Amino acid sequence: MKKIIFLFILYLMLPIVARAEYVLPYPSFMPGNKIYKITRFVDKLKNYWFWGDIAQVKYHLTLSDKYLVEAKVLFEYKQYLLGDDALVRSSNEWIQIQPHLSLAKNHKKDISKLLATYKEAAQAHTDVLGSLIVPELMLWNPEKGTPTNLYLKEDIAKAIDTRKQ
Amino acid sequence: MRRIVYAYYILLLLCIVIFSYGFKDPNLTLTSSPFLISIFHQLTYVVYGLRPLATLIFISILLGLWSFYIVVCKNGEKLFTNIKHLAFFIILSAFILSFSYPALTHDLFNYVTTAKVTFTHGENPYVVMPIEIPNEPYLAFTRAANKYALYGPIWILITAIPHYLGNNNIWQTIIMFKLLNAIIYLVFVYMIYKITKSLKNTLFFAFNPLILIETLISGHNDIYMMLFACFGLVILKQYKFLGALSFLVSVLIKGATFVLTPLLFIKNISFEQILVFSYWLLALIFFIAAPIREELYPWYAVWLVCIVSFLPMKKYVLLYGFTTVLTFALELRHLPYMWMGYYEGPGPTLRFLLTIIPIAIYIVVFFVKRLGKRI
Repeated sequence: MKKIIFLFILYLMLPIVARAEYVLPYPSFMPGNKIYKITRFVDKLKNYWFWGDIAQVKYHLTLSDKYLVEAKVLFEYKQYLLGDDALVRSSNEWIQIQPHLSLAKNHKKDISKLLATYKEAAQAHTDVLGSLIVPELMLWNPEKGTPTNLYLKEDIAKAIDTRKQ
Repeated sequence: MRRIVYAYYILLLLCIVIFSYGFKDPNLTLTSSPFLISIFHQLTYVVYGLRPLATLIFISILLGLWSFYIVVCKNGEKLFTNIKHLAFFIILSAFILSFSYPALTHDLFNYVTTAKVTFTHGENPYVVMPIEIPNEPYLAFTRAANKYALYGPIWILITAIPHYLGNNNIWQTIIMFKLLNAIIYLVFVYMIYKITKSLKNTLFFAFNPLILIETLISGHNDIYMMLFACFGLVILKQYKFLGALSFLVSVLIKGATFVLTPLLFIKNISFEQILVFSYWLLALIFFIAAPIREELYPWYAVWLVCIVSFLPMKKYVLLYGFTTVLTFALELRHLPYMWMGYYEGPGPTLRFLLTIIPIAIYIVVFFVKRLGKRI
């Protein structure tokens, strides 16, 4: 009993670290939606609005998150071609974060919090990517157009590698 | 007698400038001069350590300003026989007050830090908050650092001038912001005189204590918005495009004048009617929208004083009287915080009472007088 009380008091005395998990956004408009192309265009326009090193980090991170969620939903609905495209876009956005982080650091801005967010995001992305269930190789055969070989597992592995670098 | 009144006012302004440094943020280092540091130390002791005394000093200053204002409004034509003397006196007053510390608000620091985020750090202030640059030293004394830029893009552009003139020195930057405010205030005073050709209207605006405190001491940016809005309304009939452009600039400084947009499209309406509509539309924002959003801030009354100053005084006695009493009552809203050191608790109730009681008294007295005249 004494041990239990001691452990309970110890538990109360130890500091509890409260940490908010990195939250990925809800899926936005999906391919096929009437305004999907408009949202993609707006995404590109936003690049001009998000000027500045920190702003650019936020911009590319937000888009990387958005396209990752898009890819996840598309893979779940077995829309592999579109999903793979969204995944590549997400990774492309991810790649562009690092140079802007370096620029912010070079400009003597304290990026410790931003770096922590970046690392949390990388973990959240890796978790999502790791949970995706896709075939190893997929021959995408559209009604109109040429068939495409999709190396989905390989693409996902590449995306995970990008986040881990 | 005239010289005594002048000397009294200048002395009062100097007292305000000195007293204002008592409100200096403890985290803010303005100078390395030991002499000035010791003076600031004593002043801040009075303001933060002897709060009732500080409140009493502020009340005395307010009463001093108001007594001068009443004398000037009643006997302005006798006091200022020469317009050049008046101009010099107004410029001198504005210049003196520009050197005060922004005692009653933290908004100026928000402008300063937002300008630094934009022009020094090269970040878009609408997507990056000051707090997102944790090693920014200005964060130590900036409130609302966890907010994106609150004002329009034209305002952000305007802040580039004092930011660069400030040369990365905080005290110099504060003074530059306030000198720019003083210039805008002087332009506004000139515009009133030019349009109304009335000394009384000019004096009504130029020496109003709320205008002096909120524009020249606290350094709020409402005067910029109102300058462009009023200029737009003034020239609208003759130069439609230029008037609308000036109006747009006003909206892009601070959005409150957006409510006046319908006035741009109403035809067959006199300038006087436009002003009256503008007054009530802005009053609507002031009394209803602003308190819902946050609370009744004294500096929002700058909008009403700016508009009413263009109206003929004899015709709009009630509006002038109401605006004057309102500005008096609103400046009293600073007292509870000054006395207690916090905004909560009885603060909101006290601020409400301090605002409503003078206005209620004025309305009762006005109607009793009117009834008396009829009887």
